[in-house]
Amino acid sequence: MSEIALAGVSKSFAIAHKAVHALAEVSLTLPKGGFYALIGPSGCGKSTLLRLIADILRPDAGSISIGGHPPAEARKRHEIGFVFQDASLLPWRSVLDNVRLPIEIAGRSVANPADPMQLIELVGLADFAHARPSQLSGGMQQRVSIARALALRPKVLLLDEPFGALDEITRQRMNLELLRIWQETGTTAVLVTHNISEAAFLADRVHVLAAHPGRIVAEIGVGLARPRTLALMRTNSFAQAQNALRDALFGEDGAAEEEAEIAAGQAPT
Amino acid sequence: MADGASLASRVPAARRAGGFDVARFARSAAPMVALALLFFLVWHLVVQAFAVPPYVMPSPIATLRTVATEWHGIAGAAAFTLRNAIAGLVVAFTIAILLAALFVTSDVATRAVLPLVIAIRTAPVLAIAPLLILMFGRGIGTSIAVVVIVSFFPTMVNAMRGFRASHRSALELMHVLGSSRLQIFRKVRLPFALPFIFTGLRSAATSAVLAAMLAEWLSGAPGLGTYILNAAAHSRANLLWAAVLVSMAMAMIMYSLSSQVERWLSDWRG
Ligand SMILES: Nc1ncnc2c1ncn2[C@@H]1O[C@H](COP(=O)(O)OP(=O)(O)O)[C@@H](O)[C@H]1O
Ligand SMILES: [Mg+2]
Repeated sequence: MSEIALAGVSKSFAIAHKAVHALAEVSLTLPKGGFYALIGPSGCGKSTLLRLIADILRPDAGSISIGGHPPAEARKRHEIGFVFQDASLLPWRSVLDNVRLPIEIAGRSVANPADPMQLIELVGLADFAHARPSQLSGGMQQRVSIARALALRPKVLLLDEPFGALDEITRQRMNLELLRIWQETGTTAVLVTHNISEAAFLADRVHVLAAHPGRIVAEIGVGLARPRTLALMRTNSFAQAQNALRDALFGEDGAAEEEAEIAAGQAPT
Repeated sequence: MADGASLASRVPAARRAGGFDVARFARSAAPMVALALLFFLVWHLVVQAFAVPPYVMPSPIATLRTVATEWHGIAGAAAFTLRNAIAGLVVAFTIAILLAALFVTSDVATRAVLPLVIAIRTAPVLAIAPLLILMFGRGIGTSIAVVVIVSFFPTMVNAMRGFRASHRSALELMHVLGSSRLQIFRKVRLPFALPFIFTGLRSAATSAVLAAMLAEWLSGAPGLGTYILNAAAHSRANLLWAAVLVSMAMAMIMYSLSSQVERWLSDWRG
């Protein structure tokens, strides 16, 4: 449960000797204990933003803090849980040993890690504790990866399109599970997604990104009451929340804007 | 590994005498035995068809008989060579893994040390033999050195490829978890690299016997290589081919030994 703050963060990559501005001047504050979603078209820098928070990448400019400290400190104190798009389990380890991995790494520096077996029960895989990842479906593997991310009771939980590869039904079930787990642990959760309904269903607040350069174009509060259930998805207020996100992503006159851009691009010749 | 477990549970307990699965052993040994028989058959036919005189190449039966009658001398020489081959392979394996780990983690070390490694590898063993004999003597030392020089390279190249084969997200995961370099190496890079390393080791294992004999041709140490050289010098074709047969068997033993070590380490990994 740490606050995450970014101030004027920029990050470029060199692709074929040309600078690609993955993120430009991003500032945002995510108060502790909330559930936040980052949404935007692919290539707009969502993963880059998450990887900067996790100290996998360093920003070119600007500063990032987790609970008032630099990300590298939070990382070395094992306060960050990360769920990758692919489950990235170690194939030679059993489910239990994969979930135990962060505890092995932290050793005695983390005073009260979670009980791996309880985490496996939490994600509903008690019968598969001794199975290998290759014996599990994609959805089950991703649940293992969530359990693993929770092993050290992280203060922030970062999820990069964790359910992107799953079918709609499984995704729906996983979202409910994720909400339950988040509520039980009280961690600050940041979820990258390109699914509007997923963002509206899970988040307290959604940050909308646009590409070239990657930047935040809107922050939309989702005022839906908790706990959220599947019944909520049929309500009017859920539809309104989704519409607000759609407007922010495409613009109410998004089509007109795009036409203007194309016209401008062709004009000079 | 999962296969092995499920297989074992399907086999009735009575047939698994003290954990040793007789049926499974027979199944894995059968192709080897069949191949050996085929080999002797072809040998026999060649000797017959071309009327090869015994002073060029004796028949397989005669050769096997020589192995039996000269067993004392051959076994002593073979044991010497086999020991050197195994010891050299162990040293080569250790050096290969350490160098590969160094090269994939440090660009500076790669630029400084890799050219030296390639130079040692490409220098003809014949040319550096006097130097090796001077440094390591005429016994086991030079033999091990030659085996190391000949066999560490394929293992090292494969290990480097293996260390680079770790999935990026697995490495990033370890980083986010706050792992040390050593932990990343031990828990991710090495296990991901094991299949590659053993591909290299298996090919090194078969050439190690030949390398150990090559060392004896240079140093005159009393192993199977020297035995073959003496047999040739005295035109004793029966002794020569008996020793060649034994050296082939040794290469096979080395191959299955390295496969066995791979199986152990794969279990450790899990
Ligand atoms: N490691 C990298 N090297 C070079 N370019 C990268 C790298 N990571 C991301 N990029 C570039 O940065 C931009 C944003 O990528 P990313 O953050 O993955 O977007 P998203 O997750 O929103 O799809 C893309 O143009 C991508 O090509
Ligand atoms: Mg992405």
